[in-house]
Amino acid sequence: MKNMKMVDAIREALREEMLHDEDVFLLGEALGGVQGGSFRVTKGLDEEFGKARVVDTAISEAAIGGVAVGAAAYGMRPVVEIMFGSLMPLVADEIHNQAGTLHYVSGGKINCPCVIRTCNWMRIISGPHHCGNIDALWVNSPGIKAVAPSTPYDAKGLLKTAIRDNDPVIFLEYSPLYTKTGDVPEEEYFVPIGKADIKREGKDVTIICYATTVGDALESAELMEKEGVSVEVLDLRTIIPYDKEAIRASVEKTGRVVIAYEGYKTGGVGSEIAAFIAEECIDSLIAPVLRVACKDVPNPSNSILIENISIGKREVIDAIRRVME
Amino acid sequence: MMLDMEDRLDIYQKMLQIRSSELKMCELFKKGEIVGHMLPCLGQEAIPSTLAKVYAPDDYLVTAHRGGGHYMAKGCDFNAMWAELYGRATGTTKGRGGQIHLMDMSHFAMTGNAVVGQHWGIATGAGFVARKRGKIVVAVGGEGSTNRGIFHESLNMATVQKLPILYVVEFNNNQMGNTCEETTAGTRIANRAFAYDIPGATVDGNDPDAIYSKAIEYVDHIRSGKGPCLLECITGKWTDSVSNIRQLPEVLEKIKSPENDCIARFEVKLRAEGILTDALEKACKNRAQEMLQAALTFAQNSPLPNPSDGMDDVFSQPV
Ligand SMILES: Cc1ncc(C[n+]2csc(CCOP(=O)(O)OP(=O)(O)O)c2C)c(N)n1
Ligand SMILES: [Mg+2]
Repeated sequence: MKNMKMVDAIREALREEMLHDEDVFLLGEALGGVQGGSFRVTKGLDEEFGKARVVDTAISEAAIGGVAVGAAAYGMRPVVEIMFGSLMPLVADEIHNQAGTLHYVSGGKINCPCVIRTCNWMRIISGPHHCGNIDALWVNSPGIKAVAPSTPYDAKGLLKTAIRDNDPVIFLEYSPLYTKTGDVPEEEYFVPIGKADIKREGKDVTIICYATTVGDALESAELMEKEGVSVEVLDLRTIIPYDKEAIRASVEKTGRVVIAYEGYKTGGVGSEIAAFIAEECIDSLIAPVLRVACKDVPNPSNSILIENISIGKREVIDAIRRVME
Repeated sequence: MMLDMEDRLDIYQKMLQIRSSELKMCELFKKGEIVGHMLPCLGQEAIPSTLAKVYAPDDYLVTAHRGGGHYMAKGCDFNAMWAELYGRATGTTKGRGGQIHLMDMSHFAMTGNAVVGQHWGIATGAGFVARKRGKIVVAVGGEGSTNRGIFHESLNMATVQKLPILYVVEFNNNQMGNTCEETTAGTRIANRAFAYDIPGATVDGNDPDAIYSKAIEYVDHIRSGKGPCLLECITGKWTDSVSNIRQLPEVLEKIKSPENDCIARFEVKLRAEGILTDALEKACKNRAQEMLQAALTFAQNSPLPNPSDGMDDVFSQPV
């Protein structure tokens, strides 16, 4: 095992897959050169693999998305970067209409093995065009897979799987997680898409979470333990297709569910999970399902205002107390 | 047409106001006294200051992310801008948008937007209103933003519709670290005007006289109902001022050198023509500092918003 930051784990996955398969290439804004990626994820890769495989583009999100679809359709494995999550609407057609439908509409004859990486800027003060996430859009796009790791281990393993997957995968990164460290094996490994991970076992309440809220859930679980409440933390890791079996098993065990997701509450990722539980696990529930999510307000560029609309440990603990009542 | 002495001194004063304000903003940001996302226009002050002599106060101004200088040059509420930087309730967007969302509709200015290039489309929309109301739109963005498809879509539509829009490109050859050699086809952005059969030109964007003479010619064309024009202004930005966007040190040094800097160059010129004296320069600089001090005092004494204020205004009426 080695201890590393998530940013380095992601870079390692990219590097290994580029070494493994010559058809893997990177394309995006300021990936190489003096900048080396806006969060240094791709730093140094242009020197190692050359500018033909680490392609710096103009500010041209639609073309970046189009290249992902076209290069994948004709047989390469592009891994493209959209600088931050709030820019994903600029490639919404390429993802939702093009990548998402291609395999289906070609009668199952054309694969679209592309990865679209983006970084959701969260928990920083930068205003509504930069901060927050719209992960929920991809849950509503048939044919699209979306993963959102919370640890360096999951990030590396999921990205390697995503690059080898024959379908379009959105790989969601989160600015506050880049510097989080964790153990990563020396040897090669993969994390499957569609499999959740129980980050902590418990028996009274299940917190279903992913990415940034996993840390909040784990800290809350620790604190609640002292109050005698045993909390299970279920990290979705893949938000679509999400792991129904893991959710079902945990809900059957605990009977109480809090879903914590750091996106807009209405129509968010957790709304889908809550609906699934209502449809398929209602008999196991002994308390209403609660969602802990951001208020439906654009992200203000102001620490006082943002505090009031965002979520963290405090909101997760409140929700745990409420389902325990 | 040429600028007269009074106009040139106004431009000089505006450049000083913008320079001192942006420098203070960077200083306070580095100290942690103000927070958020800051995109100063240091090095590029000649463009906003000169354009303010080209458009009328009630013409429309729509810019990309680096809009602070344009906000100030148009005469938008300077105190409210500083209150915004301090996140105060009296800020131009009630402390919500911060530096990259500065807007003041009482001056017809949408001078903030953080999705690079989107403002070209918004400016084109403003063009429909301007055509109806007998005004013009000045739309300003960096050269990087012209590589978005929306730039082409906007110019094409504006040309077909003969919209009264001056599209201005601030060419600083830097897009978050990338240069045009790495990202951009063609030597000059202004050449793209050729594709639409509209007037296009490249000028020295660090020289108010050069910007003005072309811009005013284009504005006459636009006001006469002949449709849009494209003006490219060559300049340079101080990439080290807040966020350390990478730029080769020798390039940065050149940008900041007195032979290139828009303010230093204008001072030399105004002195040579006998317009600027030591006493006048001092008075102009003092005036800029006084304005800044007043704005800082206003901002620092303004109330912070209440946490729940951030829930308001999502819709025009509460729903
Ligand atoms: C659509 C979009 N892509 C990427 C970004 C990230 N970004 C912010 S500023 C910038 C560079 C813009 O360059 P340019 O248009 O030349 O303006 P300058 O910053 O030089 O004034 C980039 C890529 C963004 N905000 N929006
Ligand atoms: Mg630029």
